[in-house]
Amino acid sequence: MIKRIKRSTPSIVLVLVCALAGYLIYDYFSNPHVVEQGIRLEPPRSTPLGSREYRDFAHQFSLFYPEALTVQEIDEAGGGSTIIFQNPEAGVGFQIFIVGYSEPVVTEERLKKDIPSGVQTNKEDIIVDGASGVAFYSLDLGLGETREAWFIKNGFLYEVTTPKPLEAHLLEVLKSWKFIL
Amino acid sequence: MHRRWYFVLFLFSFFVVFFALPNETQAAISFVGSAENSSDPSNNADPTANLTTISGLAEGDLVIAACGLADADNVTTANVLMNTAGYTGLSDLFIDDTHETNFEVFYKFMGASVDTSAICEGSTLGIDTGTAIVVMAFRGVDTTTPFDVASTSQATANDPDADPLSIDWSTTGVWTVIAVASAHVLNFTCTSDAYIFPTGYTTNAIECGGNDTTDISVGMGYNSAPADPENPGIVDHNGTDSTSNSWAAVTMALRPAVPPTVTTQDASSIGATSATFNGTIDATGGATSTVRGFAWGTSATMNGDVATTTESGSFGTGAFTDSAQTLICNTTYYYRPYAVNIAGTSTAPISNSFTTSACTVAPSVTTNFANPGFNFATLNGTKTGGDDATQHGFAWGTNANLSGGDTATTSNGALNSNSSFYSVVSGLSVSTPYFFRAYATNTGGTAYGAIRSFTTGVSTATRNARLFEGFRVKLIDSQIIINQQ
Repeated sequence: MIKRIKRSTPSIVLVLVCALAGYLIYDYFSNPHVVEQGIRLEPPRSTPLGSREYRDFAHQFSLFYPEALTVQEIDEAGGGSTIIFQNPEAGVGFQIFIVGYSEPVVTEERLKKDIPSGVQTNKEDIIVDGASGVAFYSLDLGLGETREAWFIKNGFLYEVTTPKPLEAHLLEVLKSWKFIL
Repeated sequence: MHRRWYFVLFLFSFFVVFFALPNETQAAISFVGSAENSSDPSNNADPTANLTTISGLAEGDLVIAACGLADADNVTTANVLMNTAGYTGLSDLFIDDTHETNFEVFYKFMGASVDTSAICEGSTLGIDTGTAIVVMAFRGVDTTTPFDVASTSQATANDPDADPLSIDWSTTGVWTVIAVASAHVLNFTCTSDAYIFPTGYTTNAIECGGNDTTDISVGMGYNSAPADPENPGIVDHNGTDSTSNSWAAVTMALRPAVPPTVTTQDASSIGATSATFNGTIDATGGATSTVRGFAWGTSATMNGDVATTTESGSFGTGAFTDSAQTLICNTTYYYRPYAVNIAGTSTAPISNSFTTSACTVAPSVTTNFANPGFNFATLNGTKTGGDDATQHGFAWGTNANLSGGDTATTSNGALNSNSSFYSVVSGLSVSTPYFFRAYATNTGGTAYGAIRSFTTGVSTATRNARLFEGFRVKLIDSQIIINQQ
């Protein structure tokens, strides 16, 4: 009897150690805690005259926009983000919708989800600061005809939209686009 | 303006100058009380004065004890001694006669623990035939140089009347005290009127010892307004005249303590909301200060907006400071030290002005997008202005107002530049809305960014047309026309 207990003692200790380790791991991952913190050291870019730099460390990009535009950030329900650059009095502006995205290309399903009209014309491939994507014309019930530039980078899908007459403005903005971090 | 109003204005100004502000108070000596040995001690006994009968005897009070011993042994070394510790002998007198007067005056300033008795030595001095003690206590006497003293004695006196010496003095507020002793044959029980003190002298401190071959009378009296020089005159004793009598007398001029001398030094360690006030008690004035501190404010004349610090204790000479006051940044201040002793309050000159450092500008901060993952999120913020932050970070939780019990805070430390900062928080619940905001703080205040939200887990968001929301967009001739809806 004593012999059997002696033989099984290491196994009992091992089980207890594993149980304790499991509990500690579970506790660590199931309770909120700070795992990292710091300061972003990305230096500001040299801004062209009449422009401002917009930086979004959460979505890892920077761009220049006309200083006459105001910027508004919106946390969308369900995890998306919208950034609006606009000057309604001057009739200029564009918006960027960003959502976490794990596919390598934009799927039809995603397209229909974000553009209920399903309009997608003059589709062409584009590259924005190394990120592959597509540009096309579409139709929005509120904005009318729109110019769209969609691209994927770092697990995000970026959908840049502006009314079709402002296409040239959008092109300038996309030229200044830079991924950071 | 009517003359009457000028008069009212004058009275008001008088009140402000002489009552509202600290002033140096005139020194004053006061009489505390007296005591004698409670009963005639038998031969060779130690005469004892019960100091507990002196009401209010306190720390710093001067106790003068006059010890007398009468004998007939011709022993000059039979000095009167003081058994109670801490007394200093002032004048030791011996008169060799048939009835010999041994007489000494002692003094002591009471300490924190006040004596309950004063005891002269009477038991080891040979053939003592009479011993007596009388005690007087005074307040407000200069502890450093308490006395001017003149003493005298006489043998073969036909009369035991004592004739204390004249004394010259020059300090304002002096009181004179005369202590006398007479050796004689009394042959009757001593009474309180054994001596008649000169005009101007108050006494109820007269005691006799013995009632046998050679007896002693001891008395003490004080004058609160002596002449200068002061010649007290004869202290008349009612004993029987005899050429075998002798007497001794000590005249003392008590010097009053004066308020301490206080000087001002410039402020040091000047910060935005703090500074160290500096002062020094250069001279005690003959009595330790019981209170010291600073009057301070923003007026160069120390009128109006003046506050006072108070430190109580027992203070001699030396520097003292105060840095506990909360000042206003970028503001000019003045102060002046003061100290209080039993003789009064002394205020030092008003300090040079000093100006606290520029106010710290509270930081400004914005809350940026969070970057949520499955069960974690990167919280982002930016310090956009203000002075350096002593602490920064995020408050976060599931309550939309960040006021619930699950609200937590990250402490990312100091932030000495306008920079973007982040914290990665893990262990979050999946598919759960969270709220957060950035903060940064320094001594100028704490700034908070707007409360923002994020949802953990896989994103289910779809795009909304937010551009020109609230406006009507028309396309006319390839031009956009936007009108308020």
